[in-house]
Amino acid sequence: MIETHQNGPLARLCIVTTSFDEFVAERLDGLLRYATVLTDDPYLAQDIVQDVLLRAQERWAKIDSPPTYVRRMVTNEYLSWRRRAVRRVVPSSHEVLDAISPPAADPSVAYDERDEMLARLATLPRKQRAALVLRYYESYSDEEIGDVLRCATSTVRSQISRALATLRDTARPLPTILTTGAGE
Amino acid sequence: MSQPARDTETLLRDSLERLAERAPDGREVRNALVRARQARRRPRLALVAVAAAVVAVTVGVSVVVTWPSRVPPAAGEPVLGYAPGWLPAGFTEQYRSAGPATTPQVRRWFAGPSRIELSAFSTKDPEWSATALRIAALRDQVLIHGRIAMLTGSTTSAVLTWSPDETHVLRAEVDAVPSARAVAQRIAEDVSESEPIPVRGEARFGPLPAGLRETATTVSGMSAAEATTTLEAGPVRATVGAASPGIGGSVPVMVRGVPGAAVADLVTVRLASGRWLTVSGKVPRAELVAVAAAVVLDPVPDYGWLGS
Repeated sequence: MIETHQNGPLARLCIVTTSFDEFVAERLDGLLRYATVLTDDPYLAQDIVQDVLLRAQERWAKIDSPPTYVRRMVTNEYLSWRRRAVRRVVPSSHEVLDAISPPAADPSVAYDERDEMLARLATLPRKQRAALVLRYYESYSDEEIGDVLRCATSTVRSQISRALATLRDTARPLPTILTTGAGE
Repeated sequence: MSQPARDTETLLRDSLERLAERAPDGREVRNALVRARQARRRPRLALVAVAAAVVAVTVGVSVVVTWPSRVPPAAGEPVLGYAPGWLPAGFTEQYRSAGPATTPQVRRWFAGPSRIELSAFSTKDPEWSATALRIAALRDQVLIHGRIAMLTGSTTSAVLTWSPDETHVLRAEVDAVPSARAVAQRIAEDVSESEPIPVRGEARFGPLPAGLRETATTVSGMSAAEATTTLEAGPVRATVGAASPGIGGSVPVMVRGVPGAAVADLVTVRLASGRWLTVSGKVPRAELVAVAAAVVLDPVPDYGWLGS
């Protein structure tokens, strides 16, 4: 077993010859993290990874490149789920949360920014989200993303470009109010 | 003091890393893999018990089922309306999903790493309403029974999309299959409208809390022994299967009158049958408990087609 990286380009350059059990031992956590980032739902992520591995286990010997195959299947499963669920998912509403507890500028602001970003991510079309995850979480090249999503490199670039534009356009300036409750 | 502007891409990376920290531990998946391996070693006779009252006659990929007396189906029972007349050898069906209104109908067959998916979408769904026009404008066209179809893909993966009539869009996806484009076309040419095939798992929703509406029922698994039924209602998902979810850090909660567990956006309980009912979704926990309480269990699910 040569591989040491859970994700990233190096992981895909290594030639992997491993048993299914070794693969699961070394890769499962990374797969679950990837699926969670993709789906924004840890339970759905678990279901998807489980389904894919159950099928992979059946004919492990016939799979040429298990890391590529399994990750691609996880992505396909996500796109299939989302094809049905895209209209039904209700993204977290910060307006509602803000009405209950207005956001405040405090040392944990980085946390709030990431929350805000995840809420914006939840509004993207499934393929755009998958492209962003592959680029910014898995560090895939445009060609590799195109291979996973079964589209041309130019399409990948345009999906990512549009997704980033949406994320920038919908960014809200963070409030600067302090909510210590202390009077002047 | 205003916050310093953060680069979108840097913030995106940070956010995705943070989301990744919510990933479940792998214990349940490992357990499921072990169970699947053990199940395959047991005599196949055990599978018969699950569907003892179901008479299933399998010819090719068509399944005719005679139903015993059973829990009455929900109104608007999900059905599949299209069936392939031909598939490459070695594929077994492992996934059926459908729902009311415009919910897509999806069937999947697997042969090791290879996958075939047949989906039917309603043109009443805005996402698919203009598909015929889009296909007509593309270059990668083929004809399926005189209707223009769009065929994309490579030598091992292909997607063929066509409209058999004014009300549906069909799609045949072929993945990790040699000569994928030719296979997709052959499958598409033999797809026909079928008698409605119900998707009947081991559970269905009972009355749902206000604002939730049933959207899909999915039955999946490599065989009857490994079957899972998943029900969806907007952001809420209910699953009945052999696997328990990860419940580390959970708190006790009464579900269906017996002690269960609650963690984050999920409640789960082990049923008298030994199966696990899990309801999850980003709604108040009380709603998850209410959904779980109302789920109607079906002692005679239609799992006979799984793996055939």
